[in-house]
Amino acid sequence: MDLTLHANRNQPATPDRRAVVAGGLALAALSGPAVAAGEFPQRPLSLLVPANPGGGWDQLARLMQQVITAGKLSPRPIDVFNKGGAGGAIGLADLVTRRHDDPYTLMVAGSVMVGSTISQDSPFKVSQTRPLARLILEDLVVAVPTNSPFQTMAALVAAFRRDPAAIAWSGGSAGGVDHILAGLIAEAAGLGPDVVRYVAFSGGGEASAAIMGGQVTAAIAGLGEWKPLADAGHIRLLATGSPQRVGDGTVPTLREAGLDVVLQNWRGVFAAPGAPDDALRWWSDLLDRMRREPAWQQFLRNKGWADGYMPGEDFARFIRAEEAKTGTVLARLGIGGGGGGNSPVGPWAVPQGVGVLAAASLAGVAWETRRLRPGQAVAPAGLEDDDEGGGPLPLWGRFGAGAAIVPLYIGALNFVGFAVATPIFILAICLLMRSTTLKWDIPAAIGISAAVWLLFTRLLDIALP
Amino acid sequence: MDLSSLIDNMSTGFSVALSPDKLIFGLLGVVIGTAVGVLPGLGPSVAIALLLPLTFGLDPTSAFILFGGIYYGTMYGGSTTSILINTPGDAAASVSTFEGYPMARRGLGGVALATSAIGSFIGGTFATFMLMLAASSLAAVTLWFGPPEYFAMMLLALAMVTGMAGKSLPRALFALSLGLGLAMVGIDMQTGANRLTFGVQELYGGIDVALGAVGLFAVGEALWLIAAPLDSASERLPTNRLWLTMDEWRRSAVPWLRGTVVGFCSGLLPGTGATFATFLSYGVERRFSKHPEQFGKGAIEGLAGPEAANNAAAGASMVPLLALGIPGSATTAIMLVAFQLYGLQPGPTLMETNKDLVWGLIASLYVANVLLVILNLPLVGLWVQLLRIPKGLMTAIILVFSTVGAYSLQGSLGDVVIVWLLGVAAFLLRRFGFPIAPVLLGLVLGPMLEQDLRRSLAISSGDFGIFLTRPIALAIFALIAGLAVYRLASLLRARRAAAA
Repeated sequence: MDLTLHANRNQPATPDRRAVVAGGLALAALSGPAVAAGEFPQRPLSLLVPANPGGGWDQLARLMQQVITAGKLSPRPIDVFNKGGAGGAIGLADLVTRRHDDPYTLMVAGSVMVGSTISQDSPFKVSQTRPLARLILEDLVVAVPTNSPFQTMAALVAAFRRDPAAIAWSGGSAGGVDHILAGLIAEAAGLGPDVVRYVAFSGGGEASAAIMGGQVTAAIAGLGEWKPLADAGHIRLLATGSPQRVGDGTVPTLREAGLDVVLQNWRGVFAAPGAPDDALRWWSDLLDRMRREPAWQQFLRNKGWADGYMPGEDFARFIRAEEAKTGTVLARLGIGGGGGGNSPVGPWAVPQGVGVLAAASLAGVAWETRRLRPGQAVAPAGLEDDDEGGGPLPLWGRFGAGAAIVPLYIGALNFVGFAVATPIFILAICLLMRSTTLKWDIPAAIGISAAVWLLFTRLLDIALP
Repeated sequence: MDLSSLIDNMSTGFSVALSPDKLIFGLLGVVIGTAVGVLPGLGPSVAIALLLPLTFGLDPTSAFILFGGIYYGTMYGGSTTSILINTPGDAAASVSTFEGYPMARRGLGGVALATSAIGSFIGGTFATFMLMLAASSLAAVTLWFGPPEYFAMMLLALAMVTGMAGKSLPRALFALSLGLGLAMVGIDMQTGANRLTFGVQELYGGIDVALGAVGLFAVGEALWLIAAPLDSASERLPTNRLWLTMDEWRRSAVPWLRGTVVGFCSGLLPGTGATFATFLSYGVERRFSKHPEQFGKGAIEGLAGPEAANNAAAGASMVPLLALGIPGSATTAIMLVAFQLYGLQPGPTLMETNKDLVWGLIASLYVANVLLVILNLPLVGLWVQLLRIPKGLMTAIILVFSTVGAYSLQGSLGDVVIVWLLGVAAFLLRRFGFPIAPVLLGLVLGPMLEQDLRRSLAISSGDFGIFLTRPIALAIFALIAGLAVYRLASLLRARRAAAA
């Protein structure tokens, strides 16, 4: 169930568009098809990155922003914002619920999202968006540390066949393309995919450090990410998952190593499901002009990304096919849906341990409480915790009032907006705390609200509700 | 690298960093960084991501000087609100609330701010110095650390910080397990399993440490201020003096240095980071302090150490970025994106081919540190004026900033709800005598502790021997055992002395 108490910064807020919360269920934003044909866009545009800054999707979005801005391709400014978490599922949910009819936001995502929505059994699927265009393909590579005994993919696979448990594979989060490729390699080598010992890293620095330091036997990542490390002699690339050799042609493909596996990572852009056709046409035209820019092609070459442009209906079909294929592969590999993969310590072992610790410590607390002398109360603890017991005891009534006023404030933010809710909230707190300087508090409340408003919206460019 | 080429490189660097236009970008960066640091929730990575589009028109050197200033500036600014109003500006500043806020309540707000600024200067300068001197060889050392070593380090931090227990060990353990439990919420990285989210989509991504820090400390404190009977909401906190006494200098000096070393070492490792560094440093200070009874009531050592540690860690995370091209923190990850948008790939080659940029950036980090200490020490007098705001208004300000800060992280009111619920939980825990700091400790260490344990066992096929056959991991475990034996022995001695 969606909590839907969220409103987004960069929310392209037309006056008639406001998130509605009713009975805890999401209602789609109310909005009239006010945008006349030919006049799109009338407001600034946004790229939604459903991951934290720094990853592949983020890089693609920021590259798009840079190329579009530098080439003056759009009459309106375009910004990038991140809404990360859960392999992109949170950003995806945002796009298909609250931004259901929003033509001004595109989501930048890729094949990892197809895998994560399936393995997490997420309520939303990538095919629920309007897939606009696939932009790039990135080849996956299998790498080993420089001092590894494996000089070729064939040698690595031979050792893997001899003793599957001796090879520790690593890559990004479970269920992503890296994990799938490891499973497919095992299958092609004639082993069950469930023998793969897979060590997941959150990507970026940690995974690179693990393979460079020889912590794992072999690792899988995007060619663009690891080409510089290989060029600098930190790691050795054994094979790519591409159909034929790429780049300078020095790295063989998995097929050449006798494994019938082809798997490429792709990234593209997705529009909201209810976005009007004329807006989508405008976006498609923009993307088409963008990929013709020399700066775009130059960056793709630098980065080791291939131009995998696939617009419109072809891309939508491609997405549906990907979902079906990924679903069967994940099921075969035993990943997701609560299945623990092939991890020696399952997902629930540590939480259970924590639960035991909590229960044991509560028993300890109970024992301590029983040893209290009659009449002795439990003293509050706090950071200023002193020997007298941490100051006067709080009053439950006032705590209740304080605890109730905050959700009222959050609700008010959603309905009447920051500018109205905040001064009232500040005054309410002052009244609750029996302020004796009310005549000063009123201008102070208005002043503080105005200052915060200016600071966030004008200086930091973060829209408040 | 020999000395003459180092001097050569650094003079190139300083001639870049001190040229008037670059100096302006450095100044702009530290001012923006300080402002972002002061605001709760927003950290350096978000600030740099927000500014990235504005720098497209600049040359890369100016842009990176700006980013470096922001990074260091947030580390300075984050602790200001931790100290004054118990509201951590970002996750790495939460530990500063432990001793800084009690100091402010005792009228030592100015002293705490000055201690923090000087500590930040020492930590930042040392880290920059090491970055200049030995980036490549230090980066090589970080590669010796794998999941088993990280797991051992997390245990070491836990062992160090059990000192936070206060009066009752079971209560502290319960608080810790609560924090660890919160850390397990979300999609499991190793298997993709959906844990403890109860179907609430906002929780799929887990609970951000910054949200935890703001909720547990800022909102919890505000609720406490509302509920605890006061004489009047117009009551103000006392402020005595702004500058350190000779005794305070003496007590802070060693913690600054220790914090710097602890922070630098953990900042180098891609798997740990600044928040971990501050907790470890706090534990170390508590263990070595001659005044352990003052901890929790405003012991200056417990502020000086972590404050030096978080800046040293920030500087150290630039080492793997510049030397190897791998990011060691969220902030350096976004900086790597920025490098690549400029068509540059950080690494040994860049340090040779683009000397102006790399050495200009390193030199500008020195300049940023000097600018920040010049900016922050006079500001101490201004900041403590905040304490003169009546309590009613102050409480409202804490709540407004916590709300807006939590909202600005992802633009989601769901995050605001999480922060508020954590605040209520913190209030209830505190009312019934449970300490709150271990909850945050669990939230910070939990994910690393769990993931690295499971990664280690996946590497060894479930064999626990992996922790004992690797020299670094074994050494850390030996240290933990040594600490436990030492603590047990001193407990026994105390008991025997009491019996005699």
